[in-house]
Amino acid sequence: MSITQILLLVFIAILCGVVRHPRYRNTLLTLSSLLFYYHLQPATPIRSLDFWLPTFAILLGLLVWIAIQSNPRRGLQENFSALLIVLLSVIAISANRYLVMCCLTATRPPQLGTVVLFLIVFLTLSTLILSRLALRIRLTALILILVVIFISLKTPEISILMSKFLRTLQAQDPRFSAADDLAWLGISYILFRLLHILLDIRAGRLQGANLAEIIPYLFFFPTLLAGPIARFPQFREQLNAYPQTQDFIEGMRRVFVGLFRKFVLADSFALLALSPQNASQILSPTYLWIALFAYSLRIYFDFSGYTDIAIGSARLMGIRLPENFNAPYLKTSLIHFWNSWHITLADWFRAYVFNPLTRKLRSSPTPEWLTILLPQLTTMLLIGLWHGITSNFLVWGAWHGMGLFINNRWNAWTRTRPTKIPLPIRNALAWTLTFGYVTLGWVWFLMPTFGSSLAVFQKLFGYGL
Amino acid sequence: MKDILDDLANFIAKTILQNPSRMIAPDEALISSGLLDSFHLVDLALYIEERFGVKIEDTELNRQTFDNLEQLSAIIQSRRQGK
Repeated sequence: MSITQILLLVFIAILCGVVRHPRYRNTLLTLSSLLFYYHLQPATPIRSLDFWLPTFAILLGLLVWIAIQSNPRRGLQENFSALLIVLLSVIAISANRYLVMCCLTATRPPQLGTVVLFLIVFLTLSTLILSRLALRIRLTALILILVVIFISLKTPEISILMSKFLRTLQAQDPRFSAADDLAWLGISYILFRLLHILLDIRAGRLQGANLAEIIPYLFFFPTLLAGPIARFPQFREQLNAYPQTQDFIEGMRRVFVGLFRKFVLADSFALLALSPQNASQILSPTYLWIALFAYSLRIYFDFSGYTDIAIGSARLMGIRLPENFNAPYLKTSLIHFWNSWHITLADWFRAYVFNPLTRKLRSSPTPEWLTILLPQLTTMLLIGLWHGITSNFLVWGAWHGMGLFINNRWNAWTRTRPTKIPLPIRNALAWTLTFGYVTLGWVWFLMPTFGSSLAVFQKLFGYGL
Repeated sequence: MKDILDDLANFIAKTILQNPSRMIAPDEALISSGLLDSFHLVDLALYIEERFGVKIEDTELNRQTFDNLEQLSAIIQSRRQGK
């Protein structure tokens, strides 16, 4: 996001905070979220895809809303105005093709007739199919569909196949297909919010949801780019919370902190940071270490800077988003690091993978070391794969899964063995080890292949020069 | 409410942290401070379900739902009354 876009975001957030009438505020929130989503979606080499990708995400949101209705007729009556706002927004953005208003979408939207026809056919067909299925089957089917979409987008080989298909559909040359043709803004976050709603409704933890709540939750404009992934019940409770003076001051402070972190700190470290491009050119191990630490600081300030901007702008509307970072690089153990890094994603995986698995293992006759290793490794491998289904993200996940297991066993071992080493020295050692381990782990994260990561490790420790 | 608070503080100090002399204040941060890790939280949920007969969901073991004993006890109490 550019500074101009961030200023626009802050301005609209202030505007949403000023509107006190619940209905108008909700409409403004929905409209600005959808407009922002189309606006931030970058252009792709496939014609009109920068319009279709956000549209498809919105349709997924509608699909989930249709699927969770226990009484579709009543659901439609109660949510009619919200549905109208969403559909009219999509149509208005498409109609922008015929207006001079530039910059709303990255490229010219497709024909209005095509869009309207597609919306009608898609919604009619999906409503017909979904209404024939029992609630539980509907929910399970949608969960599976969302997981398949997620896996397809995150697996480079499948993405290329999809790109080939879409290029052929648009009469473009399929030979130029690439995995990043389908650069779908924020979809990892949106799909995880959708899965959260579906899983909780399926488990009976969540009783229904209105479209006027679901759409702002999925596409809440401050969180489109980098989260955090709030929990739906907590988010919807705040949709009508209005900002006080204190919220405004705190919100502006957070936005400024975020701008400083992103545009001053992260962008400065970026000048030094290790990248797949410069990794093979850096010959000195010392400089390679400096570049790696610069990357480590850059990724933190970049990500946490965006999070600050998101949390700050939401606060301007009186909405409190969950924290996503809690000084992770100051922690003295890997367990504490993962308690403070990308907290909302880790919490998502804890809720749906780690906790159920640990519960199951705890209540069965499994050896203790396995009840520790299995949940930690599974969760971390999945968190790795969330970033992309490649061998490198898998290794990065395993790196942290094993690290957490060793950390846990070490804690259990030292708990009953008092040491004479003074606390400040212990803390300094533990911090160095934690920060070093996390930073070395970034090599797997930032390099594109297993071989290129190994080459960086060799060079860092003075081999392979 | 007080008895739930004391019971939980006692369980955390004795069984989870294995340090019976550790005092846990009702407003002391449990999750955001790193005092309890993810395994501890599952053990705490299992204990609450057995001891108080109320369900703490897997999706509730996070700081968005509760971060101290006061908040956790309030959840337990309201669920007990709702039964």
